[in-house]
Amino acid sequence: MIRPSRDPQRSSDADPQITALLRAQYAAPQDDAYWPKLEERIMASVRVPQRLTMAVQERLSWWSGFAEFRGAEVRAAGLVAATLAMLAAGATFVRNQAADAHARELAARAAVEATLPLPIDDATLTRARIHLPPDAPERYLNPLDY
Amino acid sequence: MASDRVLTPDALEERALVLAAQAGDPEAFAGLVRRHQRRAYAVARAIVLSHDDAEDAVQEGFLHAFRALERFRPEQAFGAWLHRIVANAALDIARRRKVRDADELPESLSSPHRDPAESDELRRRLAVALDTLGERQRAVIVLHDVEGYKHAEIGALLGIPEGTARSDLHHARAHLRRQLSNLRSTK
Repeated sequence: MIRPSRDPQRSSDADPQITALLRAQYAAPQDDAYWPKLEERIMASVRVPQRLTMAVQERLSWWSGFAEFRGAEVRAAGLVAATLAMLAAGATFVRNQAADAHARELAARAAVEATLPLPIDDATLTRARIHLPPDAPERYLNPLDY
Repeated sequence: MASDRVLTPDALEERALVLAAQAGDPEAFAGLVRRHQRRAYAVARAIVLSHDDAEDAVQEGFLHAFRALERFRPEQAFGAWLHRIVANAALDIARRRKVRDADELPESLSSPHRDPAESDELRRRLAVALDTLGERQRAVIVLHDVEGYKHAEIGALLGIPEGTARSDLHHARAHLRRQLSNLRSTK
């Protein structure tokens, strides 16, 4: 299908023979039966991604119900609920922190008390006396012990 | 204002098809394909120079247009928008083809849509001459001399200034004349 010439400068330096050759070589198919086939091919290529898109939409449809949460009232209620939830979570966190700190303090105190020595060394009380010879030098160093 | 334009019945029908296609009606899009596929083929054929590649470019172009349809504003000219997309698809295919088989002669030489009366030798020489021409100049001369596009329209299609399209046409014609003069003088 060749459009009629609309350009006044079209043929100023065009070679008619070359133009005729070009038209013979590059003009669109003249057979009318060709075009429905091309249309079919194009539409087939268009339908494949369309089907894929529909399949994806169907697969995602489980969450399509959330679309109704786009309303302004629902959005405001959601914000209030989220704020309350954050406040509750914050209060729980502070309470847990305080309880943990108290428990840590108790544990530290217990540990310190467990390691403190008794006022009287029981080993001293129960230890058997050592019998030394009468002239042992220890008797002169610690006379009360022997 | 574009909306104040008086639309012809044909343009009104096309706008209705565009709106229906944008609303998801595949039959409306098929109607647009039916209306524009010949011109789209001509644009693609000027750029890729092989029948099979032109078909691929038209198919890709329509597919891109279908995907981008929701972004198209109905007050625009659908044909100009579509042909630009097809031209881009054809340029893309031409670049890929150039990388793949730079030395291969175009398949169009054996295409069934050629004039059987043409001399094989002349056609072969024309194909070789066009092949040495450069992608843009080749597209410009085919779009202008075969398809009857104006320089400004070619510029819009190929994304080049009108003056560049004009000078490309001049150089392309001179080149083809030089390449084929020897053969024609011996005939």
